[in-house]
Amino acid sequence: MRLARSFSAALHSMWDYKGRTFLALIGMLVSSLLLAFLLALLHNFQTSIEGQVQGFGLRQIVAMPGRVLNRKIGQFDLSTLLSITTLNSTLTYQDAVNVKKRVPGVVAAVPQTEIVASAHYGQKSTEILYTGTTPAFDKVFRLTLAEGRWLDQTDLQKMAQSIVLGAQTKQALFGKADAVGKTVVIKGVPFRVVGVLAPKELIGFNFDERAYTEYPMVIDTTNVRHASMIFFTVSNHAHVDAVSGQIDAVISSDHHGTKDYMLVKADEALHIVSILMKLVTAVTVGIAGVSFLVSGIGIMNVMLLVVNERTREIGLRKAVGAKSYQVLLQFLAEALIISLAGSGIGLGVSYGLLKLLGYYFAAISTQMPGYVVEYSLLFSIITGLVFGLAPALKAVRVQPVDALRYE
Amino acid sequence: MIALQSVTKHITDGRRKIPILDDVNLFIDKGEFVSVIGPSGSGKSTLLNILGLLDKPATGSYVFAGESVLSLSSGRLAAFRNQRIGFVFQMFMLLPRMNVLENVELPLLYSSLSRRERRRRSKEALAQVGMLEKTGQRAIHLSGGEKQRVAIARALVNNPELILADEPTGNLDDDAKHAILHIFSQLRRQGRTIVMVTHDVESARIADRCLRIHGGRISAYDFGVGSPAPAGLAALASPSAAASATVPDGASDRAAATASDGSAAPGLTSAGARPDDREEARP
Repeated sequence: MRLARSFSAALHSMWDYKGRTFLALIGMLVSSLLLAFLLALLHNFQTSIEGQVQGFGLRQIVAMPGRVLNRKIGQFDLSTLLSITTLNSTLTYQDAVNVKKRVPGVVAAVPQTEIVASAHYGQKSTEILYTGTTPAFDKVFRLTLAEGRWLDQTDLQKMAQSIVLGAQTKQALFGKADAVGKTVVIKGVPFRVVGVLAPKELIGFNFDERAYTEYPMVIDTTNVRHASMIFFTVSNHAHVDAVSGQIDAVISSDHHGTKDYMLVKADEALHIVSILMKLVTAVTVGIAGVSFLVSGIGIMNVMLLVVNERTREIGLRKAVGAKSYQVLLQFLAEALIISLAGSGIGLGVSYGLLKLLGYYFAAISTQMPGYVVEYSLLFSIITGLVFGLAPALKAVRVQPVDALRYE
Repeated sequence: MIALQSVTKHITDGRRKIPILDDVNLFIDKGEFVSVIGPSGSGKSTLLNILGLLDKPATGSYVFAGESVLSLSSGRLAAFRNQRIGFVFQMFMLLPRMNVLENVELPLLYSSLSRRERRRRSKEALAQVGMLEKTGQRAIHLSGGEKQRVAIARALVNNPELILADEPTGNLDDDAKHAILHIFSQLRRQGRTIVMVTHDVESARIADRCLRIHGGRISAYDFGVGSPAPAGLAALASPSAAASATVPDGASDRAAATASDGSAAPGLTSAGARPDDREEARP
């Protein structure tokens, strides 16, 4: 009951000092917003990646250029880091063919190579990722077609100059008109559009701004000689590790023992993502912690000013019977309410921002996890109590006889 | 009801001790209205602060209704102030952004009364000072006289045994002053124990007894032989005080009874003080 009265008195006073209350509240709002929004974003990002990797399939192994994962932390040098780029790739179409031929556990081996190029249709042109791959590619990524069909074995064998457009490429060149059957020119070569992909979001991959054709076509029409990645599908998830070793043996033998590529398993990727997310989350919490510290100091300053300004009121309250703990509770309650209100609004704004982000980036989920709300409120309660204590104690120490004389 | 004995109080300026109250003895009966008059810096507010348990003396004792109050903890003192003492300040000390009712209710917030009971008592107190129709008005929008009436209502709201008023008419014009003194005289008639500090001789006249404080020492106040109370105030003063204002040397039975040597100083009003001699004033 008395606690309720302390909160009621605190609310009354806060309303009387609206301007200052608002200023103190802003700091907490920003801190809470920072913490909640970033944590929720990271959480959603991780969830999305996990969901997509699992959707992409835990039976997948990806061969990538570079040596980063083959080295321990601390053994990285610049060339190791740069080796991850496509330009330094040593992977080939033949690697994919050899693995498929020699490793029985691999049901699909799909190379991909790409280069930035311009695609032209009539007067229109657009920048695309001119991508070469094989017919099994759409199975690996479970692609959906909006129009026509995907590349088939005949296209590959006859080098039919067939092309499948990504959703955005089609939109840029054809707008709402049908694209299938039309001719698009890339690198001076005419391609017949056989299909258009439905829009697809997969973090780390870009499908919409591409144009897919037969792998050898890209090699023949550009100076690109190597695959940027090779996707392997393993027949049984339980054999992924064993099959990965066999793939490694085949490619390594073809590369004369040089480990200038890395094999990434889906669950390994999830593990790396998880470690990275933990690291980023720790950094985020640290930054938000500093922000809470600053906003706490802000609340303390405002509350100290308020205590100073209300010295006579405090004196009067004590004169008419307020006990020290009641004065303490009133001012602690004020700091706490400011903290919680700031945090609450911050949470609301971050929820709104998440929704807004979700509107523009459909791949990222817009959930506000419960633990983020709990962390945010817990941080704000601790901040309010810790930084409200000094002003509240100052108020307790006010002597009514001095305060009543205070001008 | 109140017994202050051998009370001293000083402030320290570097190594120098400046006395504010010097061996003050004061006895106030239940239902008595005592005014304390004195110039600025004479120690009258300090005396009031000690009586109101807002300040503690350096030495001496203070017994309130049979209870030695100087040894009470700060929590008990707060409860004591809350339930047994009402304060009226010169500067009104209303919380400007609160309305009249909320200001009067303030002491009750620190009691265990329900909201409904708090509101009922606050309105009752406001009715006593004729401010019931302004309950919803913000204190900042009231006139000086109205503010002081609200402050008196706040002092009354806990139905205290002792009302302490520090220059309650000090910031008021004549009309407002008379209205406030009228309220005090009504309170006196209700049998309330009141101590009013003032530097205004006219206001002091309405009390049963007037003390003078000067240089930290307390004595009976002499209104002067035959000095009439101003017309407005004469009506407010107690029958004995009003009579004494026109009857020189009108030592009443009561004054004579309380003086230890049985004789009032010449020129003391009937409402006047006990003898100046502190040794003799001790029971």
